Amino acid sequence: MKLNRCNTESCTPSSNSRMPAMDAWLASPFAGFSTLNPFFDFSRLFTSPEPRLAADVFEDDQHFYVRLEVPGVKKEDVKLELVDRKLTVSASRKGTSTEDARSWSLTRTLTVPDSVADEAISAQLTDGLLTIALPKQEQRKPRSIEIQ
Amino acid sequence: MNTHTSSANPTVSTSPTMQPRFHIDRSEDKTVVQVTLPGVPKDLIEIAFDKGILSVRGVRRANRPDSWRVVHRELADVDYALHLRLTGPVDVEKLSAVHTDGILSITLPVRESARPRQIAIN
Repeated sequence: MKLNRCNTESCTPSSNSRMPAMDAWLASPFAGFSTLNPFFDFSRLFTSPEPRLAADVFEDDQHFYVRLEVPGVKKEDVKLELVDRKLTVSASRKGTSTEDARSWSLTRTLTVPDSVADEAISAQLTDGLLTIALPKQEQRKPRSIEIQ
Repeated sequence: MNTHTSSANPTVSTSPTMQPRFHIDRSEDKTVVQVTLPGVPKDLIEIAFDKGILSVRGVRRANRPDSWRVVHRELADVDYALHLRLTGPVDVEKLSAVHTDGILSITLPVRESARPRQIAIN
């Protein structure tokens, strides 16, 4: 697992550019229902036609934490990419063959607040959950100001 | 992780019960059941096999330190429960289970005496 950082100019668009979302939905509007699955965020199926990785977001005084469900995914099959404050998480599970029903590939893009220190983002994979820690920059942490 | 025949639920909860996704592979000598249990720690998984029925239970909670405040939630707290009736003679003594990356893989070997055998003609 590695975190790639690049500016928009230096990044080449992904070669497997996806169909426009609405086209994909028209092509197979009920594609998701045959494999109803809690980690394919189906609650948003009709507002965001493509299934995507479901995420929880938490924070404390030092960090934001993003937690995504990636069952069966190995560390090397997770990619994190940060481009212009957009953090894209791609994960794929490889079955024994391309027809294997257990194979899948999903992404999720989240906008990262300006207050996040890009250089210190870290991630951990445990029991099929990916937890990304996004440290808040020093000046954005709550601090008490002494009255003179 | 326990392999036994009781089916006690590890916690009393009001969370919804959901059937996890599963996949079954059968071969001459074993059946392998893979159950998708993301976010369920090993110690909150219970496996039971009784009278041909394989039961798996798992509890998922958003496990986090008290200092973490919720900003946005999409992953529900759920109790997973799966019951599968498996046909054929299973060697109960040799049941085994492995939990890796949120996938529980249970191997149920076919009893030795019930496996197909090649008989050589002399």
